Amino acid sequence: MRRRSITGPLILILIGVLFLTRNLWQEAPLFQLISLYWPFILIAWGVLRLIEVLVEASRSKPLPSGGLSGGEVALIVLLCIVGSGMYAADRHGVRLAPFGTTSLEVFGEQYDYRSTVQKPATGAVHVVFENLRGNVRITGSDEKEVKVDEHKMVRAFNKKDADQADQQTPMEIVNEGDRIVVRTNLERASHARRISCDIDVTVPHEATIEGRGSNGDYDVTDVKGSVDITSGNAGVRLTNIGGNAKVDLQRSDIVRAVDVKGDVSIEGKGSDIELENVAGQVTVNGSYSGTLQFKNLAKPLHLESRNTDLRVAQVPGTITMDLGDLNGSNLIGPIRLVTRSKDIHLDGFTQSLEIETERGDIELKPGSAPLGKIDAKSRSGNIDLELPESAKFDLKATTSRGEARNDFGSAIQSETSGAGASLKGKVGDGPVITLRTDRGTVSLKKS
Amino acid sequence: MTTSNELIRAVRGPIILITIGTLFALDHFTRWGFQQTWPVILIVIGLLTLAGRATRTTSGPTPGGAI
Repeated sequence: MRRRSITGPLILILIGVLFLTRNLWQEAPLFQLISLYWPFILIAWGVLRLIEVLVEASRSKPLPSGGLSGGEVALIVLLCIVGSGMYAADRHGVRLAPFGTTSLEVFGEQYDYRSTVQKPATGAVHVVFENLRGNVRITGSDEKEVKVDEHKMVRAFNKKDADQADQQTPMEIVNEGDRIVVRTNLERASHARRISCDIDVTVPHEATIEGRGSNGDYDVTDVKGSVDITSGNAGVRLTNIGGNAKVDLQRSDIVRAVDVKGDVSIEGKGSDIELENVAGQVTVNGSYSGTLQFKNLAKPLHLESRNTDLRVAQVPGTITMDLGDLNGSNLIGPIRLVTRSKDIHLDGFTQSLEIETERGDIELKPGSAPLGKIDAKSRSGNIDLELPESAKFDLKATTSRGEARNDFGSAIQSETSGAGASLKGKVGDGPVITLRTDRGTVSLKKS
Repeated sequence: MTTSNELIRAVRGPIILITIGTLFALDHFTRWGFQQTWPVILIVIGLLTLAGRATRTTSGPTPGGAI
């Protein structure tokens, strides 16, 4: 009987050593190491088998005919696939759970720690929150103190590790100049990735809030000062804020602000935005993939993203916008909208309107108040304008390729030229309305 | 008694394995990507097969077994 190869047990030892290293030295970048150096496992394996064959040959023993067994070939193919996958994943910045730092998420246990810290504070105090990971809830109250209830969650393999991590990260409230700083100090822990901390805070009503973090939601309620939140990844919900609100996020699932007396400014990337009852100016600058909703804004709204630039003087009604549509009703102009690809429906707007879209239909229905100047352009899409019977205007509507429809009768001249058509005419003495599409139907309707 | 033909057939697997490992290592650490260097595997297999044939005519016990 032929002596069996020693590579089987060696592979077993290698796997054992890898898992042991990961368990004892948790910060080891094993994923990266394996993804980079796995080809040397193949080389070492081949060399071992080569040596085995040569040794057996020199002892004149019968040689295996293929050099590798079927099982080995299967294992090698698997190693190549997994290794290439890990290499590609690592290069593209993906960290897979079973190998990286999150192994604790699978094998560890969660330990909870709670504590409460308070500090007297009165009047318009400036409170700064520094919490690396975890949710922060801030509520204004009549108490003359800053009170923080902390709920720290530590993931660890045993209680001793967890206790140590808890002691390394004491929460503190300190005075720094005219500010009060609340720190959870999570970055002090040696395995920072395994701790997160939810804090529940009450502050005096007049407080000004400043929040810093890299991951975790912020909820702020009933605060008369301004709110400034900067985070890597957060959902932000602001309710009843007396001052300005400024939110700067690299990623977020939602930013919601309701009842804000000051200006609201939102920057960065995210998904949904919901703003309601804002007394100040609203500025949104960044890229948002979800639904944006604006309701009852008393001052100008300016929204600027990669594909869209929208300015509205006042939003007594609502604007709802997502990647493909923009719907607005009851708006006060001047309104200016430049966008790449959206279907636009505007309903009940006053003052002047200027719309430009590359691709998408435009449907306009001005409000009952005297008509403003309208200028709507689409590269490709239909333009519908619905006017009350009593409206006075000076229309010029053209399509380079498509039909023109007219409900206003003989006052408007209809003309076709080649593949295109146009409407032209004056009804009474009113503002200039220009509609223009390169491809699509232009219609003038009577409501 | 092992013949040189048996020896060549026995080392074929390990040598292909080393080749593949080397190509992936080159892919990771040099500018020679695997998508460029993979034909080397075919060449190595071809060379090994040729060497096997060349030695088989002298004392090859199994006829026709190329790969």
